[in-house]
Amino acid sequence: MSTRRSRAGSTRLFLARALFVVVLVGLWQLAADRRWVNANFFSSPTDVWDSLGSLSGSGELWRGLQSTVLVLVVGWVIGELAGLALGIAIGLSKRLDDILGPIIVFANAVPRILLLPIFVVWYGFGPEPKVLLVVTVMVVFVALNVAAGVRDVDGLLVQNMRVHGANRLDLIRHVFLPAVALWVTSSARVTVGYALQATIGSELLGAESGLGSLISHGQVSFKSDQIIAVLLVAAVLAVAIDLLLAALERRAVRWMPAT
Amino acid sequence: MRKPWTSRLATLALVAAFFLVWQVVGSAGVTNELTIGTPGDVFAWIGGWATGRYTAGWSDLAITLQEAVLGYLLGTVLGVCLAVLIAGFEPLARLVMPFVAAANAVPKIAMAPLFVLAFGTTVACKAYFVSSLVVFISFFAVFNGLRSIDRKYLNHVRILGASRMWTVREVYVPAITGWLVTSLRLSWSWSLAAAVFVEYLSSNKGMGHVVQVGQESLAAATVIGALMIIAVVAVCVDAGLVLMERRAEEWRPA
Repeated sequence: MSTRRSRAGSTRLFLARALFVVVLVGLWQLAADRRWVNANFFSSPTDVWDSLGSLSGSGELWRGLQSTVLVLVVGWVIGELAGLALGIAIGLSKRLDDILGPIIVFANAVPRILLLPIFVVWYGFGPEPKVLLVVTVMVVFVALNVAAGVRDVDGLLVQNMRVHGANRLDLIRHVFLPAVALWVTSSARVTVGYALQATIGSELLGAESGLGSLISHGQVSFKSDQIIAVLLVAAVLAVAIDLLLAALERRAVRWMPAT
Repeated sequence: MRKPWTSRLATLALVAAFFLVWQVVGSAGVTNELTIGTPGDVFAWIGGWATGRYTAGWSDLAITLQEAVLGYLLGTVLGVCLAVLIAGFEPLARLVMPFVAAANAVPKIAMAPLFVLAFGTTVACKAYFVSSLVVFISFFAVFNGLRSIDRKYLNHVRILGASRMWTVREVYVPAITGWLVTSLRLSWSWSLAAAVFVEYLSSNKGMGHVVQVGQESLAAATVIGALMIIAVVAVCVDAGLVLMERRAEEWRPA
């Protein structure tokens, strides 16, 4: 009985949300038609829809999406690996942490997305500066968190294993790597969010491909409908990735041994 | 526990070695494309910047900071208001929260061109853009915070005869302030980055503009020097915020 009621409730909630979207889009269209709002900023739903159609029809949108996803994935993987290596190293070695720690904390406070202009001067407008930016944005964040995670590993467990004759390699393989793997899964949604932010940001600042460059073309040609259309696609991409990772995380957590 | 002085020395040596290698590689001119400047050039540029020889100097920095602070204030006020409204009204929260979460997943930095189109190259444009990022940070900090206030505590206070005003003043306001302080470091780093980012995109003043001009004239020293100044400012303010956060934590009830 109660499940049926809650199902009815969730249907009603779904309908309410759908209605909310319809009302919002309706108001947007009305406001645009009546010129209540700045058309340079808000465009209008019909214009955005047309722009979406022409962008996908010409294939620009799909090429852009492909390029963005490629940079995102390559940058994320490299950034995550580099961050893991650095994080495990400074998490395990007190001395290394003392030496590199201040530098990493400094790097963490620097707004790293602003490094792109330097990378562009180095590499031009190809995919390299974009990947490098994503890696730079991620590596410090990952390293700091992984180091903290490694330090948090139960000391008693480590001592017990040592007593039973485990060497450093055994410890890394059986204690630290599983702990780190857990962190990678549980933080994937945050890190991928950062990586996407960095990818699109770098494409905006001067690139010949990717969703960001479509947005910046929209700016140059004063087409706010194109900007909003591409933003919507970026939003769908972001939400789709987020949902996918959330599902993966749930699976991973189900398999996680109770520690 | 104090760090051994050998480690501090090693850190310094590492930084010094970095600058040395940079100087050598930069002045050797390994390739044409690899324009990395040299630390000598960069520091010379920073010196010239500080005395206002090349650019508007400090006024550029002042403008960037102004945009970041204005944007932060606007975003925080908006975020707190929205959070109080939505967290205080349960049906509304259930209706709109999925949309807020989706909006938060959007790479918001991509909205910069929209703001440039709509508001031109004004300081207000940058402040609006900064606030559009900060609003989410403060919203989620306050929203989750309000949700986590202990129901039992509220009931106790009510039983003891607290008026609505008293509850707001003594329970909600201190709590909200606490979460804002906690989220301040994150908001600050985004505020500054966003302000410089949108200046770089389109502007005629500010540190981002300096970077952009430097890049157009392929002056690596200018680009690196300006970014270094921004980095130092970011780190200094961040250190100040850490101190402030620590003080605020001392005062917070357990």
